[in-house]
Amino acid sequence: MDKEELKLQLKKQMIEYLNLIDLSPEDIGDDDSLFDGELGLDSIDSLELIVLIEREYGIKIKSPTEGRKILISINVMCDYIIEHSKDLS
Amino acid sequence: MRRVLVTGMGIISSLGNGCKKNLDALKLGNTGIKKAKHFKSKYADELLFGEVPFSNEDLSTLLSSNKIQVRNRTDHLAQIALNEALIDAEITASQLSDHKTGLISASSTEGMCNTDEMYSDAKSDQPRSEFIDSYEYGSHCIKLAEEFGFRGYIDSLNTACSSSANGILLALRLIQSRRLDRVIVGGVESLSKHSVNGFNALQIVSDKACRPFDENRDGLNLGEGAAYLVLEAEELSLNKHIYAEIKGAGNANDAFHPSATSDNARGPVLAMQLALQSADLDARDIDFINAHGTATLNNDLTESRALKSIFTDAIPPFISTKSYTGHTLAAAGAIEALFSILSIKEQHLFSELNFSEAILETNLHPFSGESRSAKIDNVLSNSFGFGGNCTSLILSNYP
Amino acid sequence: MMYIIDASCISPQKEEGIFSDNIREYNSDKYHSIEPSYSDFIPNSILRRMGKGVKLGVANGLPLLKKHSDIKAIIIATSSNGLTDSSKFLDQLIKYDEGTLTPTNFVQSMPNSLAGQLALLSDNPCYNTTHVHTGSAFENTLVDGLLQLKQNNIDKILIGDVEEIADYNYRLDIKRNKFKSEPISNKDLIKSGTKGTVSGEGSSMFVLSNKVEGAIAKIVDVRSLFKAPKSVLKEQCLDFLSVNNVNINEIDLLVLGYNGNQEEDHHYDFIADLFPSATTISYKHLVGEYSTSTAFAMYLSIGLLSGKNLANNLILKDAKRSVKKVLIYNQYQHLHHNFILLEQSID
Repeated sequence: MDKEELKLQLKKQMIEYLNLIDLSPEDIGDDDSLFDGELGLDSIDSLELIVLIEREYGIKIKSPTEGRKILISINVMCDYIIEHSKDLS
Repeated sequence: MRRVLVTGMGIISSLGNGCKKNLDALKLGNTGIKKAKHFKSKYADELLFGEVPFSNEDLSTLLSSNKIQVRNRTDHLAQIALNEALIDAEITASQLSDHKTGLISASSTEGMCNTDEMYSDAKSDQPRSEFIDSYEYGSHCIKLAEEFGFRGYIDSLNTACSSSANGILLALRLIQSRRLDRVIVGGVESLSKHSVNGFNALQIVSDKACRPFDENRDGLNLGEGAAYLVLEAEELSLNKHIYAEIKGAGNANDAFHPSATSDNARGPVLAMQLALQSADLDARDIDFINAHGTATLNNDLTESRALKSIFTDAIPPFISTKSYTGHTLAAAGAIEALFSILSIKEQHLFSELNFSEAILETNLHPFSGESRSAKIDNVLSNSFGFGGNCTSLILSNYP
Repeated sequence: MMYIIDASCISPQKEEGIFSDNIREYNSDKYHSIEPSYSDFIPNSILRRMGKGVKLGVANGLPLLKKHSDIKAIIIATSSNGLTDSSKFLDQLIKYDEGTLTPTNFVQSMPNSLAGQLALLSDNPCYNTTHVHTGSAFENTLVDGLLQLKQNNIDKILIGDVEEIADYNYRLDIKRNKFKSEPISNKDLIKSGTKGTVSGEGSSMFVLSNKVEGAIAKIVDVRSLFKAPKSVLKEQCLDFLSVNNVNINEIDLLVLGYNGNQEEDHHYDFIADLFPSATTISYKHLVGEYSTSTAFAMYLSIGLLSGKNLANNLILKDAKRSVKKVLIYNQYQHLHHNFILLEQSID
């Protein structure tokens, strides 16, 4: 899977996990700030995203503190997943 | 205003069965937080718990009731503690069934301690288990009423971790208003997969013994137990042994977030102010504080800010007894009110466990070192729950 | 004594169905509420997490909180709020064998999540609590409300209920043989003469005051009993009226919680016999059976006290009296017996 496909997949998964009603992947910019921007996600969402990454990509983020460095934007999350995944194809 | 007195108490917790066992442990600084022996969960080996040191079979023997009921662990704990309280206060059968006697009990677990049966009953086509009537909120309270013969006002509250504290507040008002003369009030919680997985999903559980108000705290330990107080109007208590008075209580809502306290601790500050007002006391009248002190990053910092706001530079000795029992959720308010009353009865300050370094921002030091005697007339006890629910109680020496 | 100055209801009936014979018909054992468009009341960023019970309760209660900015307490009754989320969390727990789980369902599974959200969305820092004792939970909120209005500086409060038919408790109820074994129209429910009842849900909210200005009706008193044999039921009912200086013959309207279950409805026949000169009505064929249904009964009653039409489909016995004093009696699962006494309010 290339990075563009991964970003789209990740956006769809985020919408599902966080139940972002009325949002489609096109509404989430690749560099939009997830927690300080218009999406307005909070600490519970960050925990949900940590679970998403573990369940969908097999990567365990050990703590909310570590999570804060990764859950910044779609681009940053994708880079992290690519770096830590063994097989995405 | 009609005064409301505590004439009986009962408890079972990780510190043991009965007020005496619990008092001894508190005085000696002996924790009840250990590896679980009876609780079945993937986390039983990974985490520490404030588990009541009896199996379900042991509890059934301790209770020794002659009434046939299907009892789960929650029911056993509740009935053992309530029985102790009723005997202690010498409550008669006719007083129990009187319509001026009330029962208020809280539990957030209820029958969820039997996760597998609950799943089978609710999700599968398997025949119903014997526990099918035990999952609904208030069901342990119905069993209490049937076991002990209550017939009037019966209530069950659920405001998460402030539930039984709110029960005590309500009982105070019921008796003050003369609507009732007597209320038996408390709460019960048993360890459940539901709770441990829920708090773990929030990443606020520690895998070590919890460290309330410590800079290096990293989360709570879950606990279980039950505690009940018998509250009676003053004029009915004249020939009885009196432990303490419920002097005041306050409840407020933080209105900030479903599971975290606001930075300026609006809810906790308001709750403490309302409790002091209702008791007609000033902050300087408080001799000891039993804090909510879950040892989570959020609670202990925000509660510290709240204490500084109310007490400024004159914060009385304070501890969180959750370092002894773990966080007993809906039962915490009642268990900790009972511990507060023990400190008044014994004129004794219990000591914080596992504390070494104060939170840098607020620099508050819970009372630690050896427990010791002290003059204690008024104790403030805090319980803060999800949904922004904040309750403070004031327990006082009587007369 | 408390005055009702405002009220709102979401139920399996439209507003006009409550006070006319144009009732919505149900033929199954689930009477679902007619839900509003939630995003009219709640921003999507918050709505996305809410279970049905919280959505119903917020849509019903939040407009009242916004209209009356001086509400100083929020007191809710529920036994089912949060069960759907609790059940979803349980599903995760089993599916992932206690592995890494998402927390939202756990946080939303608390019964007091509705009261908490109402406070959050209206920025209300005042007294806030949730009563969950099934068949007496709503009556307990009334008692709590009475006590709150006695406190200093508290003149206005919000009380109410919410119940939802969660798949979780519905399946448990099936195993407890709660329901009719045959489909039946709600129009035939009360006189069915067979075992079992149907499941209902809804939310009724009330703004209460200790001042009479603008009052729609008056709550005189409430009384709850546990496991009362008929002799005690009669004695307590008469005592309840007596301490409130009301004579049996002054009750114009008796509102009874008949639910079509032949094994339970004899309690209502017994109470009805104590009031030979009152009009008697039932209401659960409109909304189904659930533990806090007396909140709906109170909503119906205050409408009738303020002059709304008494529809024929409600009437069991018509004594053709104008409605000034109302007694509601309900029992739940043979255990909880409750009386609520209401009166017309003259401002």
